[in-house]
Amino acid sequence: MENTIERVSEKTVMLEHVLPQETIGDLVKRTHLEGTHFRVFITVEKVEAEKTREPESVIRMAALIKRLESNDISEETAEALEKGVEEFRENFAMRNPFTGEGT
Amino acid sequence: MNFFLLDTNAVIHLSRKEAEHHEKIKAKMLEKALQVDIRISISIVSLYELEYGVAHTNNEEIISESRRIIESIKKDREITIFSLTEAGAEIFGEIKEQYRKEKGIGKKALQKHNIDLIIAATAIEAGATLVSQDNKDKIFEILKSVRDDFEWEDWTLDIGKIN
Repeated sequence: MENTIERVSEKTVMLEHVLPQETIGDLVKRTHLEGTHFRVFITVEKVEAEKTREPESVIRMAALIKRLESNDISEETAEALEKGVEEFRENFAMRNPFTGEGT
Repeated sequence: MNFFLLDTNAVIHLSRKEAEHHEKIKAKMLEKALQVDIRISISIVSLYELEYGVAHTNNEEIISESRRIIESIKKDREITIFSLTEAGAEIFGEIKEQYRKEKGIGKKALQKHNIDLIIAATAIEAGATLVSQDNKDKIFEILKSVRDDFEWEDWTLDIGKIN
């Protein structure tokens, strides 16, 4: 792996991209720069993936859905309203004001 | 700004978690919101329909729950309620005639679609995408084929079948 050794100071060398299968011996070998011998201390830090922010639009819509869901209507109410919609549409007849015909 | 005009039934389905199309409509709404900045709207006619549904029953529980939906829609700042307008009336006249000619439908059958056509005209005028299931007379599919300014989507279809 390239560019994994960074000389931070005379005494501190930082190894990045340490693989799980690498032994302490492997790390010592990798820190042997220009013939210098190092003692190795290992500090393990978890790399936090940058949390992706949801677009504002998604946050707004999720909140709206939650508010509508909170109405929590029963099956009977949903059926009654759907029936109302159906009847309203079927019965919404118009009359042509010029000819008097239903349309 | 991308307006989506929800049909009355879509609002009813969103208001009941166990409703047949609840999850599909919800998923589609969030998917759209991920792509673009969306705004949700309904037609004033939807409120007329819901009020008719309430007035049509004597069941106290149904009345109470229905009123809850109506009030939550009216007070929610995230929902724009489009009124009927003079420009919308003109579009309604045009699309009703276009649909009649294209479908070759009789006057009696055409009567049933007045509300669908009013809502479609409202969507066209507002530049909104209508979100609704089509009916057996394929009114929205036909309108979409003859009007470049009419946008319609059915969010109850399975993934891969979205028009």
